[in-house]
Amino acid sequence: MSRFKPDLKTYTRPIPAGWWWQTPFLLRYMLREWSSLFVVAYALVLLSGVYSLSQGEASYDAWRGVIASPPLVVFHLIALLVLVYHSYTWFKVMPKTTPHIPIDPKVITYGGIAVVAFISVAAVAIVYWVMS
Amino acid sequence: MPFDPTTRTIEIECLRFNPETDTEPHLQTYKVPFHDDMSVLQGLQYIKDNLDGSLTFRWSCRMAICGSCGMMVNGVPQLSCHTFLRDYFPAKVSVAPLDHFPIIRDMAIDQSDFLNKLESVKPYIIPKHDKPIEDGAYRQTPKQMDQYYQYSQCINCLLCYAACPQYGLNPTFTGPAALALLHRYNADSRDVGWTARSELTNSDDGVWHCTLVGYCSEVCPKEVDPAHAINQNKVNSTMDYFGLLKLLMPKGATE
Repeated sequence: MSRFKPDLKTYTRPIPAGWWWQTPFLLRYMLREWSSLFVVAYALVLLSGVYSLSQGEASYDAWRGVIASPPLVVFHLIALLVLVYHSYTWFKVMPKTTPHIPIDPKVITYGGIAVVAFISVAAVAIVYWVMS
Repeated sequence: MPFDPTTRTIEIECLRFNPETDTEPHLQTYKVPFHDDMSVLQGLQYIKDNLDGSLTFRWSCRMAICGSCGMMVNGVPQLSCHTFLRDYFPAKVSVAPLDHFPIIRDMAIDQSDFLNKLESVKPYIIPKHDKPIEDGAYRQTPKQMDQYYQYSQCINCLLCYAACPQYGLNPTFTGPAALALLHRYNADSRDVGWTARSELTNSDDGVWHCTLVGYCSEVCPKEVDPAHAINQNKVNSTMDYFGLLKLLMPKGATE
């Protein structure tokens, strides 16, 4: 109701169901939110691995057999891509959550991405080194 | 881009609504001659002066200071004085009133909801003690001023409300500009109003309905960055919940 004229006749437009689809910025936001579903799915796959490990060697080998199956390999490839995007968006919004500090937001975003990229590569390198 | 002195013709498609005759808005297209230095606002002024005097829109300063002429230009919240017809030519440009607000007539929207919310954040300095004028000004260092200056640049143009899907979907959400101004006062060293504003800040309709979409900061013509203001207060609100805020704030910063 209008503050100045209680009987003011106005028209309120409905929010279109595709509000997030029409603006690239909002589409990227929705993809960011949906990518968290893949983060949950991937975490559940990892947790099921930890659970099967606690059930003994046979159970763990069976789990390894399952995740080596083509559908789960495809799932992991998709999850990797989605998680890379999720990580990027996570660091992209990070400067909005910090206190008011005199640091260029890009330094926070790309600094965070660089640290994660370094840790990921280092982790893969260490696993590869231990395995060989 | 080099200046093009020729006059060309662009189509401007306006959303029209006349409360006296219409039950819902409709589109109307005008052919407008323009040259390179004409803004979308000047295009609308051409229509009003030469083609259709009934077209209604708000404007004042023509230089991105007053915040009156915000509109959806091709679906993006923009100050129409800050947006140029040459950037849309040869395609047509669509102009509509700011999203999420009731239309009074054509491009004029009813800002009542924002004004009520602006009032609700107590947008004024709440000092620790009243100080008589003869005691002089409240002193502040440049560093202290830097904490709130950016958020004080808001011109209440409402582009951020038109950009915010949370405000569109939950109209009770206090919204970007009002919450940015709430932070502008909370972050001021002369202000001790956190507690006076905390009931609103800590509520769902305060900072917690924000999901950090960030489009408000993207469309802001004054680089106020409302998303940053709101999300700093999610941290403050959490610390307030656990009773930590008063421990961490400078002495006397809350009351």
